[in-house]
Amino acid sequence: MTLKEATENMTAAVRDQDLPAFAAALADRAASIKAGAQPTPEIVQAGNRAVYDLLILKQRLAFESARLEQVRASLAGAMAGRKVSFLDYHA
Amino acid sequence: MNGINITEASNVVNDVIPGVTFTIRAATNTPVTLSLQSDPTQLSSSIQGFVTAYNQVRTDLNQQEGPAGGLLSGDTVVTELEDTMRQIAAYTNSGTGGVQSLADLGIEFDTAGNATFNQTTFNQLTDAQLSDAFKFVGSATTGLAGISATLQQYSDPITGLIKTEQDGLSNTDKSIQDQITTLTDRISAMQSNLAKQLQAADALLAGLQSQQQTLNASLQGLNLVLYGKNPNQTA
Repeated sequence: MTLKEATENMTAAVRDQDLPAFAAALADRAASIKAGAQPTPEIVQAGNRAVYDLLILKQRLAFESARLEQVRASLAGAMAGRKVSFLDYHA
Repeated sequence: MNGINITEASNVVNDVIPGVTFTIRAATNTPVTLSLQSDPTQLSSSIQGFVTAYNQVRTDLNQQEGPAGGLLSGDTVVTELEDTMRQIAAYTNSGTGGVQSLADLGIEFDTAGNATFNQTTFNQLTDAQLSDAFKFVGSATTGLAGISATLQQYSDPITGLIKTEQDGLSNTDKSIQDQITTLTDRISAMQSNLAKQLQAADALLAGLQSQQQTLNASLQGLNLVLYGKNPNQTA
């Protein structure tokens, strides 16, 4: 696989938020570089965009995790605040 | 008694006149007249007990009504109980007699709907009025007690509407708890998955940044060889 193809795969993977595919593309890229492939300015720019997109993806993951934590805390609060029903027929 | 021969096992007789127990103290050949009189203290005590219980229910209902009403605010049982309480408070004996309302018995209501027992009013009842008072109060199926007996359909610990509703609410509560537990477990699993993704993204980012540094250096070296300058440098 050429460096260009590996970079295109990496761009598609980060767009699809597919981290395993991204890891595979990154490995292909590393192999291509190791084999002596020469970069072009477009390939370097695509890599920079991938860095930016990956940072955005990280922010989304962190935001989603925080949102879930809020939901979980709300549910835990609802459970803690519930009153046990009780009726004393003999009072 | 009244010309009827009665045989009893002991001198204490409690099954001849309903509600009356008397003791035969000695044998006699002459007729004995029994004079019975109502005991107003028992009725008075019962009315006081009624007032206390009424006010307790009134207080409990008040806590579930209005803008600051409790969790049962708007509940059907609360609404129906409120209606029954109104019927009891407004009960009048449509027939003739000296006691036709709770007020005649000495039960008074304030503007908040709470009852008080006016012992003075009760003490002023004549014997005839006391007799009417017993009729007014009635039995399990008649009079005021008849209305009060309808409360049994709410309070019965086995078949009562309150017990039925309580069981229903308990089932709903259990179902909601189960749903919350399921949701919480699912959220925990999703959070765990997100944490793994974040960890993977961190590692990939580090790898990509390192790779970009290598490529940048390579591109700069290539430009230097081909054009004799670094394209990132200004002239």
